[in-house]
Amino acid sequence: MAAPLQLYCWRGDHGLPSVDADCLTVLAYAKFAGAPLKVHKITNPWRSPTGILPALKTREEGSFSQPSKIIIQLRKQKYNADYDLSAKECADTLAFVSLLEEKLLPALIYTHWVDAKNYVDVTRRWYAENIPFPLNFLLPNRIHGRQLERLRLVRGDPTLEPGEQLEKELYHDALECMTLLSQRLGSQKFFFGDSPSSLDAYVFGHLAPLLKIKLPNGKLQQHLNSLDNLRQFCTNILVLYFPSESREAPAKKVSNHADGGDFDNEPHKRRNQILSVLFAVGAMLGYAFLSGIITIKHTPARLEEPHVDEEEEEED
Amino acid sequence: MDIPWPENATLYQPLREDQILLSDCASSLAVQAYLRMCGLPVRVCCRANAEYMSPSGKVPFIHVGNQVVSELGPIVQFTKAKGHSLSDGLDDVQRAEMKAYMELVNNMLLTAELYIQWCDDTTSSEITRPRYSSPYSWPLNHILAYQKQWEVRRKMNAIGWAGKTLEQVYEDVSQCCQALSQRLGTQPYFFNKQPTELDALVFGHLFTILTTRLTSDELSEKIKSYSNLLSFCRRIEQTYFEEQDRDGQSGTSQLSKGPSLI
Repeated sequence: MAAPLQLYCWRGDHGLPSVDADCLTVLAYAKFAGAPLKVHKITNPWRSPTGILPALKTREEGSFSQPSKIIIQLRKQKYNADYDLSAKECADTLAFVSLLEEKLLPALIYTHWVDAKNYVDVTRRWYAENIPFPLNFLLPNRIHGRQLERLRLVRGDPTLEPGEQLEKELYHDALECMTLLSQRLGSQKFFFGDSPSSLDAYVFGHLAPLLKIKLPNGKLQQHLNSLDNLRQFCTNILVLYFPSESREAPAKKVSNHADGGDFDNEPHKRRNQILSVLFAVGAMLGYAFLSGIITIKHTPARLEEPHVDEEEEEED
Repeated sequence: MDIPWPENATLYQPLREDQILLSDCASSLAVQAYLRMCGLPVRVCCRANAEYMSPSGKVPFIHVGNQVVSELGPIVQFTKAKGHSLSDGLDDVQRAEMKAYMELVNNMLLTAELYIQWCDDTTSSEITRPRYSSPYSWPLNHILAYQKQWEVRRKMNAIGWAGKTLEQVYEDVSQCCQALSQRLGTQPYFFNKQPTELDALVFGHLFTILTTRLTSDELSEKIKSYSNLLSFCRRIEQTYFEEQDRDGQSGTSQLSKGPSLI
């Protein structure tokens, strides 16, 4: 309550406050619990206090990184969205979060980071465009390698390769998990009644990217769209708690075509391009004059003469 | 179309006395409990290379007719396809909760068991590595044990458990048990009056932890503080393991290498 809390997380896009599931979970929980956070939306994980995103920086107790640790820290500072839950509901929260992590998360990792088409067309492109130079060449591939490794370790199969068999198994578990969540949610507004809790934050964090980021290979998306109550649940939270992001979404979506996207992300890109070309041409010309590759013959009638004289004097 | 359950169905697990580890014993006991609850007879066969025989690399696995199925999840599906199921009477919400709590046990209890076995240096060097490598001769025993340890530690790293201390892991186990105890309440089983695969899974893990001697008793003490979980384990042991073994062999010696609960 006293010290200002700072949260570092990935930037948002496609109508979401953040593109990363863990960041979304923490942002949603903070909104639910009413925690006054100073949110830094960055695209360079090396700038975060712990080196990974999301990261919570507190004045007295240092920095924390995983969503579960961040939520525990927020609870310690008396921002508790689970205050009204009964003991059984708290137990259910633990169980359903485990369900999410065991059954849904591997499929989400696969669909965003391992599936060839999705990774190249959407994920890698977004991260490469948004992470500053020179990390944008290193990080996406590194994260891709790490996620594939994680899938291999979790499945216990070191020779796992992305392919139809793996996709079928992972998606089967994930579709079942989404159906189970939908059945548990029923027609309620949130999982435990009328006010949201940490379970809602976790579910929102995992499902919202799936809902909003359009992927070429979208089997999971199709299934999620067919589960009306889950879709309504995510849209509800976006509209209620992140109204500014969902308003920007239509404008951003239109401009997300190849060249348009470039212009909106970097309005000075064209200017920078022209300036850099001019600079390069000027440097080449200057070198050419200096080394005598090009000389300009002085003839009295030519108008450029005074300019050439000035240039030559400047080179000296 | 559907071949009925054959008499010679066999369950394979590592050697009980010398080789089997806490996590494998828990998984195996869970499958045995499930099959007994379904009333399906199965013979337990101990093999030193059970892990390598298994199609997924994990124990236990069952050999039924001409099919081999490993791990509790696929085995439950397999028996369901044969017409035996314990969770048919549940409605949608209850089934969702059942699956969620099973994942809770897998996510927290099983991972904690693996952590304590392989990532805690004392337990690993005194108990786990000697047991895991007992059927093999030098130098294979060292190579296999260290290879397995390295693999488990990498997995812990990937899922974010590598930074946890032993106390934090015990705390997680305690939280998990609290959740299970809350859910169980005063009922005889987790759902209605009939056991389901969740009961089998919880029994397998809790009973094994309670009856296995580790370097410290802290893990079993955490469970003992929840009395309804203790009586739950006792009830299942009495109902499904003692009555069915009354001719000849004593039921509890089949279950574990440590003392029984009673």
